[in-house]
Amino acid sequence: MLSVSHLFLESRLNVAELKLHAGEIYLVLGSNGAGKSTLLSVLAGLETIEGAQIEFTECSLSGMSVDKRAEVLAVLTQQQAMSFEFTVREIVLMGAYPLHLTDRQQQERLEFLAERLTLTPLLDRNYLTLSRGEKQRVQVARVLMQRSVQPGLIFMDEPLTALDLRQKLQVMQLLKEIKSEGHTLLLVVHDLNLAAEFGDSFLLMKQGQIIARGDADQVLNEQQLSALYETRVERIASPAGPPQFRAVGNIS
Amino acid sequence: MRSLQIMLLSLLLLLLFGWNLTIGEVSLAGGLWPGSDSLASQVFWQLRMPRALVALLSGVLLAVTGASAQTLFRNPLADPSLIGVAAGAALAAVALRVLGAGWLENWVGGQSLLLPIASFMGGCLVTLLVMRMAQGYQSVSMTSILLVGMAINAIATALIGALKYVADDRALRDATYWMLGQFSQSNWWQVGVLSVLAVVVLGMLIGSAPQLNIWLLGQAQAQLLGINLNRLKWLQVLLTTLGVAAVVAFAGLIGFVGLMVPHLVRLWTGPDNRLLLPQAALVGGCLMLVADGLARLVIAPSELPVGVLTALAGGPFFLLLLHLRYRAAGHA
Repeated sequence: MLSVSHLFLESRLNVAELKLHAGEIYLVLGSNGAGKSTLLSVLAGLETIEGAQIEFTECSLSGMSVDKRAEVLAVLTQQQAMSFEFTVREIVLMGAYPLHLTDRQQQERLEFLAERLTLTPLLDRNYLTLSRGEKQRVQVARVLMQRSVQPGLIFMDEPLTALDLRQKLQVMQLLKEIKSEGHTLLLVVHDLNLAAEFGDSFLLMKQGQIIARGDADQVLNEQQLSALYETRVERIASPAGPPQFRAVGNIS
Repeated sequence: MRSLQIMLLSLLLLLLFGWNLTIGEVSLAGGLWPGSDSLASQVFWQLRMPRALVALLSGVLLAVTGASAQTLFRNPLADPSLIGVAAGAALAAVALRVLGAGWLENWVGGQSLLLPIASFMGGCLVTLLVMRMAQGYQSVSMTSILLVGMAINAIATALIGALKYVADDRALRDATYWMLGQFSQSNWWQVGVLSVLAVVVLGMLIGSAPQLNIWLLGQAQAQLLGINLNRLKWLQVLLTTLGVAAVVAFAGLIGFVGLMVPHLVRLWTGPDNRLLLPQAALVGGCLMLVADGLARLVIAPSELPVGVLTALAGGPFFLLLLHLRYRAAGHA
């Protein structure tokens, strides 16, 4: 379990307490600038806050050395900079750096991820020549390569960026499968329909604060979502599956 | 495959080393035994052998520190001079030649020893200054190192210009010749220093090659993969500075090798530092032996400064790289 308290960072973040249970997918929803990425980067230790307590299975995450932390926590950030011509295979395998995997285990993980993310034909391609969506899938694969051997944490900031419809579904299905290994996933996404389908629990963020949290029935309603995005959101109940959402215009 | 490439390059290095040793006016026919006091033996052991070794080791150090600087800045077009080391070393050397320091020379034991020491320290000090100032702005931003480095480089170049302006004719000629790069002053003492540095720099960089690869993913990504950013950054800066400062101190400014060699080698090894660094070292050694050999052949019995040759070859090479890069990006 990840438990967090005292996250106050200037005016960008104000979260008094947060608990994430193992084996669940948490989805962070909110408009641009709501503090979602700040929350993730603070939890990942990229930004530090005096007095903040971030504990994972009773160990202080902020007190761990960077290499120990990298063994239990894998993070996808939004910015990816690379100006050297590594192959896709090399980039994905870099994810295994902090783990102590045998070559064979690395190979198995690589094959599994490449197959699920349709990267197999791209493995020997030069990363710099890929399209944005292909690069995004490579980075998702690299981060999932880094997933802890024991149940651990996986944070992803907008993993679905630049992906097409099928690939978005592919990534979410893969994440669900990874979740079943016991990992805790915290994802920032903008697609409400996929969120409703794959999320176990939701955090709605606005102006640095979590304004609502809970499962789909508790928080994914028209009133909350309309307030969150400052635009009217309509919820369409579907008898067979998760609810659908669409934005219908400004709040008058 | 890998070991075959390394074997072939080592063989090439040996051949070029042998070729370099044969160049010169004095025929080596007749006794080469170290103890012999024949002219051939003297020339071979006191001039040619140390010179070839200094050239080889300088090539190794420049190529490897070039690769390291490109990794440090996460930019394949970067060069060690960006952290100010070459400009600092050159400034110290020119200042010493122009302003003189008779009392110090007597104390250290002549200019031949004082000059490399001053130059080496100048290079290290200026790099330290760049790093201190860049640190002030933000914790570990590479952009601030780059910007501060450019400013300090400009100041050092201006000071060198001013010093040359006030210099007398002999000092001006000396300083200018030194700045063009040459191996004519090589001796066994330099061979010793450079071999130790080459082993340390190359060994430590190869030892941290997997971390250097991860470093290339970017600041945040490297940290999230468990890299101690500060330690790795300082290691790279330290090794690059030591390597470049020593070469500049002994042989002057030899441009473009640090940029060219890693680029060339990446064409067949790719950017993986584990493969790149050892082969860049070998190719750097080969290239410098060729450059030194040619510098002594083209206008024999006189010789050209080797830095002129590397720049003559390096400039067009750099333009070709830019051209290919733009064409690949679809701008041509």
